[in-house]
This record gives sequence, structure tokens and C-alpha cells, in this order.
Amino acid sequence: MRSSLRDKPEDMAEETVQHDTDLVEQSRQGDLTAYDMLVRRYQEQITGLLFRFCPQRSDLEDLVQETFIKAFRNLDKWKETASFGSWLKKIAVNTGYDYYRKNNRQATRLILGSAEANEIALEQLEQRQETKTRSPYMEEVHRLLEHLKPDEKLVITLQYLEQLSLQEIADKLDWGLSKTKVKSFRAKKKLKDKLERYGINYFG
Amino acid sequence: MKLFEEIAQRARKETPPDIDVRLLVRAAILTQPRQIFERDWMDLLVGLFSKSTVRVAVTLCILALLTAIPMTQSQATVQSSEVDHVAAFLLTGE
Repeated sequence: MRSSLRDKPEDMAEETVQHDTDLVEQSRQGDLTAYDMLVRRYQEQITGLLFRFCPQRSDLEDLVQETFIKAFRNLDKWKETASFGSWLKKIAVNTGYDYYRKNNRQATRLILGSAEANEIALEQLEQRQETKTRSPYMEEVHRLLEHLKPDEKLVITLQYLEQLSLQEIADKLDWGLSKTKVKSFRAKKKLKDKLERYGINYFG
Repeated sequence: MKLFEEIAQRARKETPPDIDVRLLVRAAILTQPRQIFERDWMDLLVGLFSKSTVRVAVTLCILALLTAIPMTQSQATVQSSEVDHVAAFLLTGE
């Protein structure tokens, strides 16, 4: 599957940018039908991207919705120097990152909370496990990444599931290339140690 | 032995569910117009105080102020009594 973060070919992108600009302008003036068209145009790409962060349908729907709402309230900040699509994808990546951080906090609370609270949380987790089946491999990847820190998870998601280069990741996250390299190195090392315990080779 | 790359490759081939959020987005926008979304000063304060370094810095500032105020007050009392002698000399010549 082609990476949903990579931009479209030049000629096609140019045409889209022109049209998006008009729709964004109308949306800024409060025309919700124009924004509806933008949502329809990009929701498949955004869903594809956020699916890498969250394979569960109910949460995924919330994340896609959140991305478009965030984009709407920040429409004034969009500059035509970048295409609307790539600006939207940047918001989606940040939404996915927030989702990782939120889940990380919940996991910490699960350990530190009371026994009763833990029981309720575990029941909720079991219910989630029962409802999955649609995307077993994506869920397996996420189970393997569970112990990583949110920023490490983010780098691995973009590197292995979105297949972006380190330079592309650095650009998307507004991180320096050296910071991205360090994060990626640490995440891979941690992942390698964990995977060996599961009998999974890292690269082969 | 399985390969992580192999699992990731299969995961990449999985397709996301069809999701249409247009109605949900529209409903959210209509119930919360854009002005409400904009951050006000309270959001900024909450955001600022969520950082532990800011909390520590503000606590240190308050402590410094609390210790400095009594010292300044005692100095001011000493100075004001000296001023009184001078004023009395200027007024009465004694």
C-alpha cells in the first residue's frame, strides 16, 4: 500500500491546491458546505494515515473527526506555501501522537491506580480485544510497540508502517534530523530487546 | 522465527475501515463555533502550569517575595526614623 503521507504528483497536486484554496477561503467565511467538500476529499487519506496509529474502528473514527475539527478551528493558520493535504496530514500525525500519549498515561494509571480501578480497566481492555479481528497484523504491531514511549512509538509507526525516511519524518514532525535519528535508534534498540523475548527477529 | 519487518509488511497491506465523518464534523462545528475554540488567557495559564518547571519557578518566586518583603519593611522603618530626625532638625533647628 502506498504511503498516505507522501504527496501526490506535481501536476495533480497543483490542480488540487488551486481548488483547495477556494474551498478553504469559503470555509473561513463560515461556508460549511465548502468544508464538507474538503472533508470528503481528504477523509480517506486521513483515515489511512491514522489507521497506522489506531486500528480500532471506534477510536479511529474519533481521531479522524478530531483531525478535521482541529483543522477547521485553525484554518486561519494554513498558508498556501504548503498544500492543504500535507498541512492536514501534519495535524493528523499530531493527533495520532496525542493518542499515543493519552494511552501511555492510561497505562501508567492502570499500574498506579487502585485494584478496583485496575479491574474495570482490564475488563475494558478485554472487551476491546474481543471486538478486534479486522486487522490482526496491525493490532499485533501495536501490541509489540506497547512498551515504547509515545515519541518512540511515533517514529516506528512513521518509519515502518508509513515507510517514511528519517528526513521525511524530521520534516513532518518539525524535529531536527539528528534528533530523529537518535529517537529512531533508541526505539529500535528497545524494540529489538523486547522482540527477542517474544521469539521475533528484528531484521532477520 | 518471525520477522518484525514481515509483520509490519502484512500490517501495511491491511485496509482501514470505511469511515465517513462529515456529519460528525459538521455537528461538532455547529455546536462549537470557531470563536469558542480559540484559546483564552485561562487556557494559556492552564497550559503554562501543566509544565513542572514553570510550577517550580513560580513557587521559588513566591518564596523569594515572601522572604524579601519583611526585610524591606524593617529597612524602611529604620530609614524612616532617620528621616524623622533630619526633618525635625530642618523644621525646628534642634
